[in-house]
Amino acid sequence: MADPNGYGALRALVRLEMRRSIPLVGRALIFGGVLSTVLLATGTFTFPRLAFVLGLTGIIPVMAFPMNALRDKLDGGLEFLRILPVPPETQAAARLLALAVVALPAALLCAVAAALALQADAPQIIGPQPVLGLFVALSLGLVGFGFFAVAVVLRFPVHQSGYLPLMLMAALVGMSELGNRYLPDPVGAFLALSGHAWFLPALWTSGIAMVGALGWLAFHLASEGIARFRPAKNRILW
Amino acid sequence: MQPVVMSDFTVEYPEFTLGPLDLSLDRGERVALVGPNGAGKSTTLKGLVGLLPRYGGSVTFDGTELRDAGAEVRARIGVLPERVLGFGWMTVTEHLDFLASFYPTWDFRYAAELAQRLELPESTKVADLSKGNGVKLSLVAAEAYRPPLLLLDEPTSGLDPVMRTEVLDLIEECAPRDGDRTVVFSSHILEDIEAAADRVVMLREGRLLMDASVVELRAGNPGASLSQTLRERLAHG
Repeated sequence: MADPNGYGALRALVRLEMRRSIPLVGRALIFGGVLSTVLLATGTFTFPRLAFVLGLTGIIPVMAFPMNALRDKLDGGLEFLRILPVPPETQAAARLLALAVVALPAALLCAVAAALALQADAPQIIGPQPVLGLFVALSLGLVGFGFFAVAVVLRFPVHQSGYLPLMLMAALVGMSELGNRYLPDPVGAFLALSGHAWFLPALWTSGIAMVGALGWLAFHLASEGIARFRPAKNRILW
Repeated sequence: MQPVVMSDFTVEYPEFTLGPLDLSLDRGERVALVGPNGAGKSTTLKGLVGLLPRYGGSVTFDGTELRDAGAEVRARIGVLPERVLGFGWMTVTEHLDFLASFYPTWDFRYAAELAQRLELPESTKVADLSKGNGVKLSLVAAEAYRPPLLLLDEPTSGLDPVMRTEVLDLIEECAPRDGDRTVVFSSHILEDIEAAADRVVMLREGRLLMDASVVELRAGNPGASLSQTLRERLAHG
């Protein structure tokens, strides 16, 4: 029996979001497999290169969610979902929940990639503790990044903003500059910290707090974006 | 109690203002919204679904203000939007199964019966449906939970005469004239209004131009067809 106020609707929407991300996950895995094979076949295999391929393969599925949100805004999917008797909050929650579930296996791939890179960089240091730390950090980082991207796409007319790529580039350059200034050796710092017993609990706690805050903000932005959505004048669907 | 009441209903967009509109719909009534493009027909229908986050005045359905209506109220309104079908990658069966999750009164057997009778290709993807089959699918989706209020936006627009008759017959069957379900539909095709409506609400540039029953319109212009009368009203305001 359907339950429009409760879990039935949420479950159906989470399933929809996950199912929609499957094609991109599949393509990402094929892409990763092909590229790794090419590395092996051409004799250009190195751990850092493999790590790069795996890292990319892990990030792509998370990008499916903001891309689906953008597609929904442009081709009528969002208008269709808005007609359903489901509050915008449930719709936003479903998108974010599905993303969090998909981000975990993606983070595992990224963590393996990062561990491989570290292994090549500092083979005498890397152990289970840093690898687990990487997995935790990357899981939370990917979830947080995905939340932020979905919320921004749903709430703001990013498809109409010609300045967005410039702003993103400026933000990346700024972050990179800040990183270089305050954390000149991130790998060394990470490995040094990961040796401490308090490292993982601290990472968990601070990461969850950050993702929680980001999730709360993303949930409100996405809900508001869905509630206020109106198709652009030149693509009125209904 | 009248199930649908719009009082001082106003919607303001930068380029367009609708209203203020005062409109009350009786149970069992079949109301046609008529007007040229940009008259405000779709916006009025959206207001009746509760899709407008901001509007002035009030729109109530069975006494509940739609602005504040929960999912249980919205689940009692059937909607056939003009062009929004859903997700193109879903098959017809998947589309209907997906929608069933949201409506407590969804009748699977009835939905399957309707789909079969309308010869909807079950395994065809929504994106590959013809215009006519798309309308049929939307009608099945809007009807499968037997909502007391059915809102249809241009249900026959772009259909060939055979398909138009089929769709009008289905509307007649789902919401017979002596029934207790309220139907509001918008249309450009005046002949369809003659066939399916018992009240006509005419809008132009967001303003209410006319609200009259078909009986009144016929009595006011004896000898002329309803389509002719409506055409004259539209032309002369």
